[in-house]
Amino acid sequence: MMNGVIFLTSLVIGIAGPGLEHGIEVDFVKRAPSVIATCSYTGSGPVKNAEVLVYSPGEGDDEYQKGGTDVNGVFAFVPDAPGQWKIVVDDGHGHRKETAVTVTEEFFLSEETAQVPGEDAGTGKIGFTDLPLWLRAIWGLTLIFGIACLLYLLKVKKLIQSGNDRA
Amino acid sequence: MHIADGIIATEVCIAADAISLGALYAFGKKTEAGDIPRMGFMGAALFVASLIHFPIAGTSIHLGLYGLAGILLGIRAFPVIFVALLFQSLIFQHGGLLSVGLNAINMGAGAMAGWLVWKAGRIPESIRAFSAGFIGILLAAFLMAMEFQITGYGRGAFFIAYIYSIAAAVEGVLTLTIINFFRRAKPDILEYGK
Repeated sequence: MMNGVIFLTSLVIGIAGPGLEHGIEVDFVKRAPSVIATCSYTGSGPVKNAEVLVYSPGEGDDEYQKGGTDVNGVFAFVPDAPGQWKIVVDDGHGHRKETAVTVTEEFFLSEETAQVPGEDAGTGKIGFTDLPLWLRAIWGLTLIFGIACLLYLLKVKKLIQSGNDRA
Repeated sequence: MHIADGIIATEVCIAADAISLGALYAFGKKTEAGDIPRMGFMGAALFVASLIHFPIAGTSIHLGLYGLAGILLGIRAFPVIFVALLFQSLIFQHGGLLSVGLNAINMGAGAMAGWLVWKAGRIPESIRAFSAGFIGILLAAFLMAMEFQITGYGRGAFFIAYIYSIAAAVEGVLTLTIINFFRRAKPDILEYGK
């Protein structure tokens, strides 16, 4: 039983990794002087007319900009400093996404254009959530069936042991 | 349907997580070896059901199969829903990790309601099957709408009731179709929750 708990805990921590996102995907295009973000539901259409809050680097909870996505799920803002800009997208019925985009010094010096699909807090690393949806689905199904098999084997083992004890 | 983190107060989410873990233990502790394959398959179905989306009224809703889980698993539906939600949160980012308990309570209540409707005798089976699917998702949506209303979040309970009544109709028809299939192919599977 204890082994099972340790296994599940490790699994959860391992999957969770750095930063969790929630049902909405945001892709950024940086085109000086603006950063353009396209919001879409995972495996579905654009996040229309959602509320968007933008927080500048090091400004804490004070909003830099408050706005919304258009019917195509797009919004833009004009950063005034380099650093990590926090973006919160909320569609008003439970779907919410907190993410970040890194704006470099070069962005302000030249006309930088960069596609940043699924950027993970500006680290540039490709995270688990950047894997194709079908691959994640297969991975999840494997885990669920794996856990079911493990529990089944433990139960059967217990039944066999109790049968042997009685004999 | 899956509440993300940061919407409902952290204290409420933690309390809901504690209640959910208690329910997980209570409903799962007497699970027998023979129950587990069925629970595994239902868990897999719940896990992938959320990938089937319907764009509606500017938002995105998806299948839940909570009523079907109630019919096929009875009280064992709750642990299965909890695990499916946990993996949906971790793998698809559907719902927050901290909000898993709250989501499990909402959807588990839907599954229990579906199970109770299914157990109601005398009513024709097709009506019970449709109603279980219909009520399963609608009750979960109703609870979520109430939580949003209390928190003062979102576009209002009526909007959620509107979009999920459509989802509930789809889910009712789907549940009825699956139950009809089981009735013809493997009728003993329908006796489990009774």
